[in-house]
Amino acid sequence: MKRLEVLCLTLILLMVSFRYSEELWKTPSDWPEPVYNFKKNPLDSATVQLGRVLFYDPVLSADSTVSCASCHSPYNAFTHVDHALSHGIKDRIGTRNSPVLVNLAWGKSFMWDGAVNHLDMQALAPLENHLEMDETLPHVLQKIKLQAKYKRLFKAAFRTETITGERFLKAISQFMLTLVSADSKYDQVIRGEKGISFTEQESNGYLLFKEHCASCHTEPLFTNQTFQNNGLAPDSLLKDAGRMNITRKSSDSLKFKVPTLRNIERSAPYMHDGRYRSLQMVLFHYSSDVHSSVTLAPELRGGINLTEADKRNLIAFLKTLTDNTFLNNKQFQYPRTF
Amino acid sequence: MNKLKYCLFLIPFLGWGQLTLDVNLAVGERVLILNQPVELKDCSFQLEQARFYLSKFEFYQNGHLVAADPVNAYLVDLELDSTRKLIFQNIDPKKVDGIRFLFGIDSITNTSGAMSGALDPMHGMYWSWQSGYINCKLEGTFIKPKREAFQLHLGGYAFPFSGAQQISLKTNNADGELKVTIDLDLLMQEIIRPQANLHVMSPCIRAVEYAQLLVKSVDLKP
Repeated sequence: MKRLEVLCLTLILLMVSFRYSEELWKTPSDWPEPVYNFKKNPLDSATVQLGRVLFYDPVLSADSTVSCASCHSPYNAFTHVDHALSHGIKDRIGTRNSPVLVNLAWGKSFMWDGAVNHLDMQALAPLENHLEMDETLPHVLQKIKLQAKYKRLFKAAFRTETITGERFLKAISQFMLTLVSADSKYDQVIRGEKGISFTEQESNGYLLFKEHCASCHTEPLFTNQTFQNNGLAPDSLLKDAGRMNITRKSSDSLKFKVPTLRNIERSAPYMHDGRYRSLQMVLFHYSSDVHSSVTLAPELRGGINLTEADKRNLIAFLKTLTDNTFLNNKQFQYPRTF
Repeated sequence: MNKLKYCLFLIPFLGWGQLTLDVNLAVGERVLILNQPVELKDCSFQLEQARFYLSKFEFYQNGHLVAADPVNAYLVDLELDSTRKLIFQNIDPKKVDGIRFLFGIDSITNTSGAMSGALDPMHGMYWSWQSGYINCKLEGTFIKPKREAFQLHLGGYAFPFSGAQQISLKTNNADGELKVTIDLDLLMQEIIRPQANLHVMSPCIRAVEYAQLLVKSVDLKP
């Protein structure tokens, strides 16, 4: 009898742990395999929780006023509502719009210019940027080593209280990896979920989207992750050359990473410098205000021919990319207990 | 039984041995010490910080690979004497006549995410604004012909700015203690020229040229 009890208990534990790991990561059906190598940093609930606590902790900034979440709010698909440019400590203003943090496991490079080559290293960029958190990794580690809660959280995640840069970065990666958005109305329609279908306006918008936008904003990620010049007139104050800053090739001048359109309804303002406050302004740009230059994406030469009705249809479709399951997921929000 | 225990204790001394590399920076015959002025032909300078990565050590005999070091990389910091001594356990110096390694970090490691040990980004040898390890940091001050600071952060892993340099050295020393000396003479003469850059802080062609100059003057002595 005792042996049977042990067997049952083991089976239950196995089922529970299987369910839990399923919750931490599941590649949505018909999506490509993630780029991130999970074998090198396997997801684990304690490490995700540590990453989440770090993500929301302003101790990561020089004066402990700004956390990752300050510019990456969960309610706005992890970008900063109403801020054209990133807002750092002491009201310093950066030079780029904070991007959404969505489906990062598929990311081949990060930042608008692709400066960061691996998700693990992404957190270093804002952390050490003078206009954002203005810290250094060694100093942040020193600060968090003084906090009992981090000793406990690191012990739970890594079975040791020793805090290293590698563990710190991998924990933040783990939390960011869980930020998967794949349950918008669009996804439900594509999955053929019962009772879910596009309205006529959304359907028309989807056709227009596939004709004019999908070559760069490719499904299902709604980005092909390339760098493109989308015809924005250069900003004479910011003087941002984009990808060319990294590669130093003139052929990359004014090119920026194609952003995902998932949750675009909630992630205004738009473009790398946040110059457009609404989707209407974005579509006006593509139809009537494309700035011609040597590196302009060939698809945009002469602009995209859109009527006002087309624009309304397109916006209706873009709103189907809003994923309320993702935006309201409590697991992604400020950790009230840790 | 006791005799057997003693024998086990003695195995490292009897069998596989070890090879030690003592790494130094020099100018000519003079070993460099931080914050001490050094006279060159047309200039003098003092080095205030010197940190660099040596990685991917391989040991050869008659052109054949004998062993590859399992440690991915070493961070040599002139401020910390202990980091200048690289110890390779279980390498029999009698069976090695060549050593190959990288000055800097290879591109695969550069794109593999967060690492531990010498490669932990907390050592300040990682660019945060643009991914990639800084292969070598040399900072100091020229005293003559005029007083000015220099800062060389040499790195870059992507073509055409791949900064890591392969070094192959021959050895016929059997006692296992070798000195690797990197002579800065050529580099310092180069950067003090009027058109040269005293501040190189990002992946660029100049950084590659400087790294190439550095490794031209690497020497291995008993």
